[in-house]
Amino acid sequence: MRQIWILAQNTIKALIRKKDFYVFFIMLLVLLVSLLSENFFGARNVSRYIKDIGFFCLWLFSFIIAVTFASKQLPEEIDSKTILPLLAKPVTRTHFILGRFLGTVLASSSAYTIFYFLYIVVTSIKGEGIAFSLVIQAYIMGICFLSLVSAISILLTLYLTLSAGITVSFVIYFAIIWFADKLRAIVISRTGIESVLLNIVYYVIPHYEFYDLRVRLAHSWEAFPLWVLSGVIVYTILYTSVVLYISCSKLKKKFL
Amino acid sequence: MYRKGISLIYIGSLITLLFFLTPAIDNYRYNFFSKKGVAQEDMFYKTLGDIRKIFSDYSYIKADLYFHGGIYKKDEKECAKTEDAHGEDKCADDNEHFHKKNDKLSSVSKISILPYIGEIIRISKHMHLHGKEEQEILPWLYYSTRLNPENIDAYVTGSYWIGQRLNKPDEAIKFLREGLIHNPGSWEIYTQLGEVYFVNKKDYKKALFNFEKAYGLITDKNSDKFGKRELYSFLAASYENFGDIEKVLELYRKILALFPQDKAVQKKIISFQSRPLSQ
Repeated sequence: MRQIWILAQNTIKALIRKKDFYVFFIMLLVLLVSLLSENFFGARNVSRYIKDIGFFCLWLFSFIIAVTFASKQLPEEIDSKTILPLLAKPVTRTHFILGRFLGTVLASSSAYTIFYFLYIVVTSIKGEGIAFSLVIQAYIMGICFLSLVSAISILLTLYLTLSAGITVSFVIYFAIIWFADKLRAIVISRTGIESVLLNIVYYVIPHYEFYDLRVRLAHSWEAFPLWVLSGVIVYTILYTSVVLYISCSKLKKKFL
Repeated sequence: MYRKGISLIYIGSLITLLFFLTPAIDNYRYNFFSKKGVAQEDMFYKTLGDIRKIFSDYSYIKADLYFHGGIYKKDEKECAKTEDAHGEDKCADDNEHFHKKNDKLSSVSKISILPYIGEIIRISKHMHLHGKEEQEILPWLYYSTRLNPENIDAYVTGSYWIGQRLNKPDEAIKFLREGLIHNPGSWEIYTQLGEVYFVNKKDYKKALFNFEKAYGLITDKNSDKFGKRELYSFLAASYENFGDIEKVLELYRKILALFPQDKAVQKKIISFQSRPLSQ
């Protein structure tokens, strides 16, 4: 456990050292302030567009940080051969993967937390605000989302090059966001063997669409039941564990 | 030292070249846009080109989406089908719609939990904004016109919400006048401007002026029979205010030609025929 934590700390330090986070933070701040200062035909307390655009940007920025940090971990270490001294005892390959995963999740979650805090402060200034229960739910969902994204990005870089890994991570994300609803509708409508096969596909793909609560936040919908939140958390833990297990197995077999 | 000097010479030459080249490029750009009739201060045109039209349409759709509480119209289409089949508005009854969904969900849960969770997270309840909430759609209509000043629908719809639903007729008029600068030949904008004067401002003289302008611009090519009906009805009502029954009758006859089965129009024609032609 200690080895995993030491490896994770390096990744968190990279977040502070690299400029990505600061650039995204300034961009988000400028965007939110400019949105806040907009006046639409003298209408007061118009706020849903701020919640909508603001959340979309913070989600995207956190996602980019998670993907780029997760994807860079392995190829850079393998190419520069710095992985070899690291893998000297007592750090195993499993420790290495788990440490990098934990580091990426903590780094992207830290960035997400700061972005989210800024977002909540700005959205509470103007308009109807957001219900506290929904604020908490969206935050937890965000952390779960970043965990899943980090695990999948690490796995992809074990099979692909750095740039291909990043690209495929983005393609998977947007494909799922765009088509998951349609796929679910098809899964629900089919019966028999067709239903079984479609259900298998449905269970295999990572459900990024579960985590994005932008519509709920922007349009002040009610929070969903606690059992759904628990279900999504369990789903994230299971899916992430499976992905990390595959990553560890792959790295164990990989010739360095 | 030598390399630094060379670099400085390169940078200096580049700056000098740009200094002389920039006005030439700017001059070319000015002539190009002037020929196309695009305003020079149009920042979105400079950065996005014609893609801005797609973003403008998206922004317009987004306004509609906001009016439906962030839900795409898919469910509304389902409702429309139900409405056609039974002749009544099932969507108005949110609970019934929701119960139907729940029935569907209970059958899903028997098979699989994950699609069930997905359905619960996804909001599908049909709703419309009411009262002051309606103003939430305004940013998207505003952005739609900023992205594409030729988006007439955005001007017309936006001014309807500003003027008639949120009761800000002066803002609506300002918005429509801005639309006319970019679309001087739009009968739709003149009609809407007339409607704001007619309905909200009760300034029938200005309303008539704008309806007549629209009447002069409307053709078979740039309109459908519903658009014509709206304009003719308002124009007829404006003439009626000024007692010009002859013109009122002429317009109602035109509406009847478009909608021969319309009994309300038939009745109006009969009632106006019994009146003296000028009051």
